[in-house]
This record gives sequence, structure tokens and C-alpha cells, in this order.
Amino acid sequence: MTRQNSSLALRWALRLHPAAYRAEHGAELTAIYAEATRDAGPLGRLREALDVAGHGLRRRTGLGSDRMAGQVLAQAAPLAVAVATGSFVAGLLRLFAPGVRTLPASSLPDVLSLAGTGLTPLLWLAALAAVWTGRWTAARALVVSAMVLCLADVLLAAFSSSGFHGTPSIAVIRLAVPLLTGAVVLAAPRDLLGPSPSQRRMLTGTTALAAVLGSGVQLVETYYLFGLGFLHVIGPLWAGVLWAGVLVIALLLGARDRSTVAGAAVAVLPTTLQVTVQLTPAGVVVLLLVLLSSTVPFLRARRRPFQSTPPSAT
Amino acid sequence: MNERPLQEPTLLLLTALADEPRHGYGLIQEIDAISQGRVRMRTGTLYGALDRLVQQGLIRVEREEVVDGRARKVYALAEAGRDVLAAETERLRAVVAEAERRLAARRAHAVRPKGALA
Repeated sequence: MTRQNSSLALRWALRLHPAAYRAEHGAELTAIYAEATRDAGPLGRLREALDVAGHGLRRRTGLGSDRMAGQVLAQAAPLAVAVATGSFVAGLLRLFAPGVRTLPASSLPDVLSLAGTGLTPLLWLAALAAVWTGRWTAARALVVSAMVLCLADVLLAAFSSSGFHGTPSIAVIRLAVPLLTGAVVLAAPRDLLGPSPSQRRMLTGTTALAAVLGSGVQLVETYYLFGLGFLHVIGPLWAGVLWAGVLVIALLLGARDRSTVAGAAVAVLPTTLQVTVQLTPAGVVVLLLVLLSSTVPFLRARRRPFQSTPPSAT
Repeated sequence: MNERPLQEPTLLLLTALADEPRHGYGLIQEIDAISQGRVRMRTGTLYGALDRLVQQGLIRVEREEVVDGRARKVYALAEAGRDVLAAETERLRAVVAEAERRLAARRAHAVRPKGALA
């Protein structure tokens, strides 16, 4: 990226800001950008411009760190990575469960799909490790990689021998968690993210809970322990228990405030949507519970900026 | 636990402003130095944090100036920010003291000869 392209990228990034904000702060943002990229290479300038663009989008959508909505996303992001990691690790049971022959790797798409199924949990584990150590740039890159891998996996599955058998909702089910979790992680304001001992305990508890619950569901689904009728209940039941469990963990180990409650709900929302995409009565109840607990404080808070000074808020 | 500790970017920003007011790029440089090169705050992230801290009343815009034809604001720690930073420093000091005490106890336990009475 040349200097000229660099200033073009910055201009585009500034255009993403609301006009009034750009008029008031554009000159200063430009000045800081110019100084920060004085000795930077093309990649450094592009990353700086992307960061300014992200700031503009957050201002425009009300997801800045000075808004409760941004705080809720910052609360949700680490927990969402933990839930996704636990769920994907539990998903490995499908490959290794004794007596189950799930993937006849007879064609190239089958083999690649199988490799993707094995690689995805590793990417999520790496993302979790990055979150654990507070390396959010790496965590975001890994989550985006997991999203891309999952998209590729779904495309491959469409061409594989197993395919989706004319049920596109399976594709939605497989994409819901990586795409929505990725959206939460990317939208969370960077200046509210960082490592802390209480967050690490929350990550441990949430990952373990999601893995244990997910493994239970996998075993029941794999071996049909309770018959077909029970399978329609177990998904929503899992999502409900997961939501309640993550909420308890977050309230016990984190701050007991509105953004924690909403953050826990947003963190389990991708999984909840995944298991309730084929709406059953139990699924509707769980989905409504999670949506209400995530969106009511979210929407209430979105109308007003952050209230004065509690140090606990950052 | 009812109170959330400061996240690292916020702590570093308040620390960077603790001794004197600074402008945006000065803050990026100072945070880089304080964190010994571990944290490189980018323009958009810095500005998001500044927006929030100004709104919370933890920092304030001390003055606006034009240097080499470039407009820039100079930020200073507000009274509330000083209190928050002092409270966080105290919290961290207590954690460090406890960690040192436990490490010392562990070392003492490790060098005590087997069978010796406490």
C-alpha cells in the first residue's frame, strides 16, 4: 500500500464515521493516524486504517465502548469463544465415538470435510488460548479463520457423498455458531477487552460446562438413548441449561450487573439459535428466554451513553 | 465479586496521563513504553477509549492546539480518574503483596529440612 493508497484508505475509514462526529474529530484522527503510521509499512498502515474504520462503524452502530451495547459485547466476546470452543470440542465425539462409523471418506470432498471437522476445534482452542492470554488480535484472526473454515466445510459438505439431503437448515445449523460468535468477537470494542484472573476462571468454567453438556447431547444423539421424541427436546434443554449455567458462572465470578447478565445471554445466543432453528415448543421457550435476557437490557442501554464514573465499568 | 477491575488498555491510558497531560500520539508512545512494547494501541482503539473516558469523566480535554498545521487535543487526568487509578493501584499492590507472601512461604517450606519442626 503506497502513501497515496494509505490516505485513500484513511479517507474511506473516516467516511464510515457519522458526519457530525467526522466534522468534530476527523482532523485529529487524521493527525494521530499520520503520526502513528510515519514509519509503518503498507501492512501497518492498512491495519491502522482498518482500526479507524472499526471505530467509525462502532460510532455509527452505537456499539462503541462508551455505550452499554459495546460493554455487553465486550462481556459476551470471551464467553462466546469459550462456549464455541466447548461445543466444537464436544463435537469431536461424533468422529471418535466407539462403534460409530460416521464418515466414509470415499471422495476428496469427504476427506477435506473430515479434516475440517478435526481442525475446527483446534482453531477454537487456539482462539481460546489467545483470549486467555489477552492477545485479542490473534484471537480475532483465529476466530475469522474458524469462520472461513466452517464456510468451506459447509460448501464441501454440499458436494460430499453425505451432503445435506435437501435440508438447507443443516447448513444454517452448522454456520450459526462460528458466524455469530465471530460477529460478537469482531464487534466487541477492543479497549474493553483484556485478560483478568476472574475472566480466566469464567473461561475455564464456561468451556468445561459447554464441553460436558455438548458431549452429553452428542452421546444421546449418537446412540439414540431415549428415542426420537426426546431428541426434539434435548437440544433446547441443552441450550437452556447452558444459558443458566453460563449466567451463574458469570454472576459468581464477574461483576453482578446488567451488562454481565446480557453478556452471558449474548454469548450463548449463537448456540441457542443453532439448536432452535427447527422451532419446537421447547425451543421457542428457550430462545425467547435467551433473547429477552440479552436484548432487553441491550436495547434499554443503547438509548443512553455510559453513566458517569464507576471504575467497575471498564 | 461486585466490582470489575480496570481492563489493561484503560489502566495503561490512565497511567500514561498520571504525570502530565498528553496528546493522542503521545499516549500511543507512552503506552508502548509503559507496557515495554507489549501493547501497541491503534488509532481507532485509542480514540474509542478516549471517547469513553471523557464521557465517564475520568479524563478531560485540557486544550486544543495546532502543531505543524495538524489539529490535536491534549488530554489530562480528571480528579475522578486520579481516584480510580489510585484505587486500582492499591488493589494491584495488595495482590502483589499477597503473591510475594505466598511465594516466600513456599520458598521457606521448600528449604526446610525434612523432619524439622515448624
